[in-house]
Amino acid sequence: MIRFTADYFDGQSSRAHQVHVVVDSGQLSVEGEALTFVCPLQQIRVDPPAGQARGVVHLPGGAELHSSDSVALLELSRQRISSRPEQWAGFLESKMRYAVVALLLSVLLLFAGLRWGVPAVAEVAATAMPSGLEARLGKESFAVMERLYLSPSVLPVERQQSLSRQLARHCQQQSCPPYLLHFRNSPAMGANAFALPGGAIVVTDKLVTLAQHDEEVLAVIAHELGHIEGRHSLRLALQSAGAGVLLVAITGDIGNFSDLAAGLPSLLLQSGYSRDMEREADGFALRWLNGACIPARRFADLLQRIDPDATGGGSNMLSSHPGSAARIQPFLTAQGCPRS
Amino acid sequence: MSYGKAYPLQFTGYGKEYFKIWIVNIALTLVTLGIYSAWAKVRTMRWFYGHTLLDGQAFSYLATPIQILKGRLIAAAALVAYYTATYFSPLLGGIILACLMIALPWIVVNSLRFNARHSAYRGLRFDFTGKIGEAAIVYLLLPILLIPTVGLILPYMAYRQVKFIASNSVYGQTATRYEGGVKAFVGVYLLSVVLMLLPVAVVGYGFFQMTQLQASGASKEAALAAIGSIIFVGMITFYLMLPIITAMIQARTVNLFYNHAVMGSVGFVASQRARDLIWIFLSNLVLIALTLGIYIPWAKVRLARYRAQRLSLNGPQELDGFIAGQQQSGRATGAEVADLFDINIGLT
Repeated sequence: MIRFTADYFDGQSSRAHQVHVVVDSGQLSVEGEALTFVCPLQQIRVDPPAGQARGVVHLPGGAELHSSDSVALLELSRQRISSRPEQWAGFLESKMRYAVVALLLSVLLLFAGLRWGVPAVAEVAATAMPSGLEARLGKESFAVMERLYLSPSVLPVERQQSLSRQLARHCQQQSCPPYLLHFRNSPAMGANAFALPGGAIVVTDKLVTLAQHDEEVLAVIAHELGHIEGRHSLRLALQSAGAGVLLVAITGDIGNFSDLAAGLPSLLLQSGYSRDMEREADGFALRWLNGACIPARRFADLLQRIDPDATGGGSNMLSSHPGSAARIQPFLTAQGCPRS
Repeated sequence: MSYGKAYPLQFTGYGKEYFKIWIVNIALTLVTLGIYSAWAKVRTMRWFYGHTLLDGQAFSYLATPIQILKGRLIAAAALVAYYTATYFSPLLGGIILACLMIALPWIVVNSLRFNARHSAYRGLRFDFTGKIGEAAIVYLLLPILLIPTVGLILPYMAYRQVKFIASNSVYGQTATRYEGGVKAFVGVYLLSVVLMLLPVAVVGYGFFQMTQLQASGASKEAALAAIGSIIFVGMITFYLMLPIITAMIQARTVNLFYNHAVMGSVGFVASQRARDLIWIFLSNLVLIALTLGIYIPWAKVRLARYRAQRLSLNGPQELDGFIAGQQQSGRATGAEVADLFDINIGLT
């Protein structure tokens, strides 16, 4: 038997009636000065109490019982199945130490979700995506890059063709993902190479002129092939979208603060994700170079020429590439190719 | 009836109590991959409503988690469609955004109506009777007209939006009149223009000083350094002014909203102050950053308490003379679309 006092509102006027409520054997009976009635429990809806906030019992016809007796209301809400999810919440909220456990759990889940969950889902999504869509996406971003940063290559046509031929020859013996090699001039990007969704690889003139050996260019292209093989640019885009959704889902109700709060973590995440991918592409390049009998140190040589500080080591948090010194280490110590 | 009695609004919740609800909501939302967020929202609303007292009686939130969940699923589908579309083809994304723009008046009206119909006080529901046509003028046409009028109609737009919400709010059967005029809004925006002129004045004065300096034969390097520092100081004044102006507009708009609204025999007195809001916003922001977000529940409670403290009603000796209107409950879709797309409709 549950007893509590409440204010009764009939749903017709704003007048409050002080009443005593008794719940017993499937019946809720209300007793006040000018009114007395009984209502079967099946017809009521109980809002499980949230903290010490005033609780509400909804009666048929829009009538309400308001009560501060959260113990009685909790007891009453246990008798209604619809309030079950909130009973678990109510239990966890009841003690500060459960709340602290919930906090730790949230932090862990959030971390795991961002670190492993989002990339895993993005990978599945990238695989499920029709290649036509991916190709169109690549085409569009290539068009944007062309307009903003790229101009036609000024390298001699023979040099371009020679590099393309060498790559094609290696790809006859080695497994390469489908690719399209482009040479472009881009003072803005310096010595650089990048891969786009759908298989386009862009190599800047500066990178080719900085290379002292054709195999150095091939080594960088091998790294980009690794990006294409892993569909990295697509996955990266999907991942940052996914991480954004996750962060907004958590911070969504914070209102004013969410924009500020979401900015920094997503920046850090973005660089974390791309670091994973650089490592993956490096691994691919290393295997590919070994298979092609190109000394792996060609990659390291060119990288060091682009960024002479690389040997000094030290990784910075916000750079997309893993600490350069650590990164080129495997290329310097790699064994020669198995056939030689 | 006479305006006999003042009824101050009270907020009786504490940050520590809300922290437990908040963190459990987040944990369960994560564990259930977002499904629980509907229950979390209802629980949060019930907590805030149940701690907001007027004349000793609390407000009640009537929406059920299942209603919220349905609305959220539809809104989330729209959001995913929008993001996927913009990702694959900006054109298609643009088309969807345009459709959303056209649907905006519908979303606004449905959102306001859903929230009103699921809020009750003393067992009587609120309602919102705004028409989609007026919403189209107020939330679509006027914002578009801001461009050709170089923002000059901004006070008028703010006035129409406040009037739209206030004059269409209904409690039980009791409708609300909005008696304010556009003049007060012009004042608010004129003041913000004046405040915005401050950084401009700083830079202008700096340049004036510099020409004096040059006339007296200072070196070119000194002049360049002076330009640099003038622009720097100008930028700092600008960024200091932004939150001040935002808080000022927010506080005064809320005050104008309530102070000129009359609901039957009840009038309102709102007295928010820009300086209080600035202090609350900034200190909340700092504390949230320092505690890596743990302070968020306390921050929200502080704001809720301030808003309640600064609002009171003037009404008859008893508030029990209101009667119910005819009601249907409506769907949550519009409200949840507005929520997820971050469309800011209400006042604060």
